[in-house]
Amino acid sequence: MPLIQIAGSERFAYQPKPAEHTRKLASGARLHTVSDGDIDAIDPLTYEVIRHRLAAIAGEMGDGLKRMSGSVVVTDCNDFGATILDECGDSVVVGLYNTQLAASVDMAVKWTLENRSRQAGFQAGDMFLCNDPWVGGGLHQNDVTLFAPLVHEGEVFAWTAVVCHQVDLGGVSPGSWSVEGRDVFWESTPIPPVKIVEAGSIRSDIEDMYLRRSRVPRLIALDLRAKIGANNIAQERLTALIAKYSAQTVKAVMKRMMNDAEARLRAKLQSLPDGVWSGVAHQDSFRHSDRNVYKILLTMTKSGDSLKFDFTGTDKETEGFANCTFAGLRGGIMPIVLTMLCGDIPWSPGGLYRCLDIVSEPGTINNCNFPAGIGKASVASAWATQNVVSECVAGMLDVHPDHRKSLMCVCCGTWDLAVLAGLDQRGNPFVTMICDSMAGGLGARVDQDGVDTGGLNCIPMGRVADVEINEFSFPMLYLWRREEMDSGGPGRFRGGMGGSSCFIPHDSPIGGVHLVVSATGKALPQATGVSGGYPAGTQYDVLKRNASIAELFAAGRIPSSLEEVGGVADILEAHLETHLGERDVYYTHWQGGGGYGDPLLRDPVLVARDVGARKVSTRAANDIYGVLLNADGSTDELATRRRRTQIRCERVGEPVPDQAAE
Amino acid sequence: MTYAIGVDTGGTFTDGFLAGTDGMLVSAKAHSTPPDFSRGFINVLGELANAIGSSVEELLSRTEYIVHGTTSTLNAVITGDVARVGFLTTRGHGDSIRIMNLEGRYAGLDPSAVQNISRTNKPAPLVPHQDVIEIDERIDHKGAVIVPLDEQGVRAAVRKLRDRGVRAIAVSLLWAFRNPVHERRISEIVQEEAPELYVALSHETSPRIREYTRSATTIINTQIGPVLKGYLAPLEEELRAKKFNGSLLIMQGSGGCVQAADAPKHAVGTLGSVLTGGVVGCLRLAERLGHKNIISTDMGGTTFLAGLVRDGKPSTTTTTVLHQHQINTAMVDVRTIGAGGGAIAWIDGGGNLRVGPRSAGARPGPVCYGEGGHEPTVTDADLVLGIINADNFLGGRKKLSKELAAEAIRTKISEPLGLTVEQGAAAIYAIQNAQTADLVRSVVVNGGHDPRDFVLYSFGGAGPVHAVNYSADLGVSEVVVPLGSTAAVFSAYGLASSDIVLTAEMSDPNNFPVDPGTLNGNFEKLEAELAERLIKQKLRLSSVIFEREAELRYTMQMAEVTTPVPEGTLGEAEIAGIGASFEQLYERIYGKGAGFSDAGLQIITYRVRAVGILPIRPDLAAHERAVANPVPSSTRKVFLDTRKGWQDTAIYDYRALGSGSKLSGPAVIETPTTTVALPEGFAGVVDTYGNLIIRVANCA
Amino acid sequence: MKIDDNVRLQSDGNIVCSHCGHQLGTSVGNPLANAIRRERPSQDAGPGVRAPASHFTERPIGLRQAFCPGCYVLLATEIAPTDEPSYRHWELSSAD
Repeated sequence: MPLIQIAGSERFAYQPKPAEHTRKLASGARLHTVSDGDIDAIDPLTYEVIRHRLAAIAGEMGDGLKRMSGSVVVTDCNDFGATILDECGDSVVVGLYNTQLAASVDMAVKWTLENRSRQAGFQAGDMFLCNDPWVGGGLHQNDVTLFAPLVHEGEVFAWTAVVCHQVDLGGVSPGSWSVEGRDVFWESTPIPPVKIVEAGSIRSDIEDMYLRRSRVPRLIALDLRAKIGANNIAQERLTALIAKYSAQTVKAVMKRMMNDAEARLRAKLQSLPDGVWSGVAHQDSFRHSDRNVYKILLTMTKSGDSLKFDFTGTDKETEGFANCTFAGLRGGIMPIVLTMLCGDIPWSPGGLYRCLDIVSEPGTINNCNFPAGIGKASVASAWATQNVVSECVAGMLDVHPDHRKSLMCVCCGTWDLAVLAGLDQRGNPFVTMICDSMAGGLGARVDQDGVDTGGLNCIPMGRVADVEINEFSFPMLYLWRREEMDSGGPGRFRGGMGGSSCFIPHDSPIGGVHLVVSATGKALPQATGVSGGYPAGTQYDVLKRNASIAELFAAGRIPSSLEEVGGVADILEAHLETHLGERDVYYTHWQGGGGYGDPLLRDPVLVARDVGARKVSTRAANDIYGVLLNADGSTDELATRRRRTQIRCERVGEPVPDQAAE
Repeated sequence: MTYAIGVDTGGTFTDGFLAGTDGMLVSAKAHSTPPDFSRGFINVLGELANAIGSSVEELLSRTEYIVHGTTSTLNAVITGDVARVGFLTTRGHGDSIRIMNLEGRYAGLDPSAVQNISRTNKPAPLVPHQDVIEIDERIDHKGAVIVPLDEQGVRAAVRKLRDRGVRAIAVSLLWAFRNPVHERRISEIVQEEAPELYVALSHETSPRIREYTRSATTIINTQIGPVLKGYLAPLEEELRAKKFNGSLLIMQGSGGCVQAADAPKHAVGTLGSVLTGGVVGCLRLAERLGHKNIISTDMGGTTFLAGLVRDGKPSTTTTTVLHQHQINTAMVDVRTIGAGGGAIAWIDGGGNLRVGPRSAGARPGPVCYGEGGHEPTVTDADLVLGIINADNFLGGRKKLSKELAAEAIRTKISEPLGLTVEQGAAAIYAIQNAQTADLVRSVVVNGGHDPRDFVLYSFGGAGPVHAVNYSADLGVSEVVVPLGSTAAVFSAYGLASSDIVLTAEMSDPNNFPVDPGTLNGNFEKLEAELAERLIKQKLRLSSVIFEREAELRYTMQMAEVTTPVPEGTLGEAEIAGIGASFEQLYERIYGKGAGFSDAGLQIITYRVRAVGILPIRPDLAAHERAVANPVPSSTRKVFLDTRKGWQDTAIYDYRALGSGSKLSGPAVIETPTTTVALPEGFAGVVDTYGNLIIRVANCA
Repeated sequence: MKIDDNVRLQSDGNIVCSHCGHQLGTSVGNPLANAIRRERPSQDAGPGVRAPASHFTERPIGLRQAFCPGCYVLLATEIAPTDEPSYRHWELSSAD
């Protein structure tokens, strides 16, 4: 069934505007401002002191949220964002947390400036809540943003914002991952910006409206308070900063931070040759039982000191829950800009965005209209956007003798979702997202391998819980959690390995657990290589029904492979909601990073080392790297040379020369 | 009369401090002697003996105990010069030490390094893959044996590791802290198969939940134990040969010491050894001055360390990061938050002035040292601003070149920014102070405290140059610069006045409230273990205190909070009281309403600390004379405050001051160990013990 | 100018293999015009490609690679639906 756009929904489909437009459109509010002269007048000392303090305040906000939140993805995985924005909603500083989330907070603030300046208005102590990805703030409805105007002497001086993933906000499936969803009405209903805190107090009518949709309302209420607390910290600290240095000085520093970031990114771009890099990101399946493959196309043009991202040709939005809005598209661009282009440039997205042009047709899978399903947007079309941006930016950086060292081939192709729900070993109901796949492989670099189980490049400081913590908290028992051989993309420098976890339900009073699985990259890999490097392996999730675990355990054995596990293998499709029974085993294998360069150019010693450390199989060493090993694990140099010659010839269908003479 | 001696081995100097039961206090310094630090140890004893006019043998024969702060284990880890260790773990989980919960890629890195994600890496695994062997066995979260131990597999593994040449075997199995039966059996099998190999078991080394950290701790402990033993055994032998009959005690990171013979088994406990003397010294001083809440800051040439004391107790941590590895060890929580006086000032890609986090280190050090450094540092700025004195730096022990410092600031900072040399230096000074305020603040706030409730103690050669300025920004009420007789060897003083501290802990995660039988049983077991270890210390203790604590958490939340537990056999009411204390603490640290109590509580880890109070407690010496209105030794132009610029500033020689001396800014006090900057608007007074007390609240 | 691990752009506008010097293309608009292109089943990319694509989709999925005609070094690799053209390209605006 085609998606039919809903009349009246257009005003929520937001395209962020530059500051001068925002200022005009927010006519109901008084916005603080400074002149260019004020910005120029800041001396280096004052600039650095205030800059450092603003960064410290963003850090304090993030630390505060982490301390106060009840969500494991926040407290343990750093899957959240903390941002300070100027009066027009441009992001001045973002913390080192989830950079996807930091990418679209500006949209929500700008929309609010345009649409709420008269009513409900901006007073000291007000805070707005938003989880409408068409407006911005987050990438899917689970990302709930809370942002607050800082009102100084009757003017909106700045905004503070935090956003984090909430474990469940309703919709058909637990965790709000509605794998059978066809459109947004199967999912959590988005909430456009509403004033949930008024003059310092929570509006209980609005809070009730918000909490009513969740399967875990108390946890959501706790996190709401954590977000309020984090905003309060920032507001108090900013107020003290203004009191010490004056509003004009602090604002001038904020503007100059964005100008500085812009100037430095422009200078870096200017140092790169002009050119066009095109790429594609594929995703297989947009919902349960969907067997199609979708593409996002990117033509990236670098011209002078700016960068244009043109997504023309991307597939039309489609039924399912894997589309993303314009906020998701930006959330696919900014993490790569930050991590690959701005490793040494301050993270002030408000300035960085000025260097970027985005061309995208509404109604496509990474710029969808209402009511296309977006429940999985952050790790579906937004992530795929990130993959293609990563590939193109890597190609561009590779040309530069120094900047090429900052490139990574595409990192962990997507998020491997596993939501467990049911009764825990203590008889209490639970819903949790197993975050093991946070340990994805990072892409290879031009001078070294990608980091094995090194994380996700959109979250600089991800983390996975110990096996013991998961087994203590949830009714599960791991057969293994390991780095998975051959999962890193082969290349002269190998992509980082992904990993796998294999577990059984254990100790639940009702036997098994409910399982929601959602991950693409199964029909084809998503973490591509660069300069001839191979992509990382595919996603591979297998459910073994009626396995022989009890028998194996009784015989004193822990199985190390799916074959040993026994039972009937069900190689899972991308999206599935099912039950994991008492005799069932779930195996989830997430992706590594792409490789760099021709694997036949890899130093054979490194291949031997990888085989010894179970990172590469002897089969891949022989077939892909053309490396043969002696019995002691060292490289057989002659055989390797011959094997490589043979592979080279076979590649192009040339006859293999007789090498016996050597 | 008998003596207690503290010996603190630092990178450059080995400090000694001697206290006699008659109140005698003597301090001495000797050069450290890497790689064999025991030479410096013996040399400083010689210096102490000289100072009291006796021979080393005479001194040692009268010494009841020596407390030693050592870098030997930390150095071994940093240089990688450790024993080769094999690792046995549960089948399916050998990769845990490679995956490192992913955080091993960035743990402990400066934010600027984390931001540059594409250049981050994990360290090499603690044990190479070939020396990791997985064993068939499984215990579940309740401690139930799910799969029995494959003993044949263990035998084969041990032989294999022995043949490969490992010197020791670390064993860490899933849930072993819950049920150690398999680890114990493995230990027996190693005894049978390869009795020459040392075995460490995770449930003994670190019986805490979270397998990655437990395994890393067990492995590192196994790697450095032999190193520590190899350092201490000959040292103790030499001391015995020199007529020492007392106890050689080793300072641990936990803030107390332990018998040298007992130390290698708990070698990770000594990783923080050299950090701790200063904290203990600080505590003793705070007891004297009646301060309950202090921020201790130690700004030296290469690092800036910060720690907290609240309600008279140092804030402690139970995990630490070493080379990006997470390890379990009870430690006084001393954080490195900056690069000290060697922090480099530089212009970033956007033309902005930055200070740190890179440091010029000990070599080449600041430009003004004239040892080849050419990047300007904070110390260079301090010199150009006239705050530190080129001819009287650290009591004149180090000559400085103001010309070199000024030239570096001119070319690297001032000219690119269009400033004068002095403006450039002033900006470096002010940025350093503001950043320090931000960083110290984050330590205080993250501990759940308000800086306004604290007094700041400022140590280190570079500390008091900056302390008053950043303290005003931070909002603390008072700054104390310890300057009395112990100032030059403050850590050694702390060592000599420390106590025996033994810690035992175990995880036994349960829903809370826990059954009283379980809780009492766990604490009794830990206390019995400690009582036995205390007897083995063979020391005359004036008293012994057992302190209990437990780590609790809200079921849905990950942050565990260490909560005090009352002594004795507890009933349900007292156990409920532990829950209430936890909730109060949680609110204090994480904010009001932050606890998700609907989800219920869990108790995770039990811990007992035995504190054996040592008999000799050196008191501080009172200042010899009172000088109410001291006369400045000179006056010079000094730049202490960007709003005031160059001011005629009174320079005081500390040696000419006495108790009760009142000083008001702008002033600079030069002492043999440091320089104190007192900007205009602040006033200080020298107390009875010679410390300088500066009031900063409401002065900013 | 070095373009990547395998390809160099010469000041005369020719694109050559950095390993053997073979000319890969003469125009920045189509830099790998002379490359040898081959298509194989996606599982030929190695054991990391786990289940066959046909398990998940009816679309044809294949491994497409480009090689230097001189030394057969691997210049580009992708696994993509083979009923689509390859969308992965680069072109520099000029040779300087």
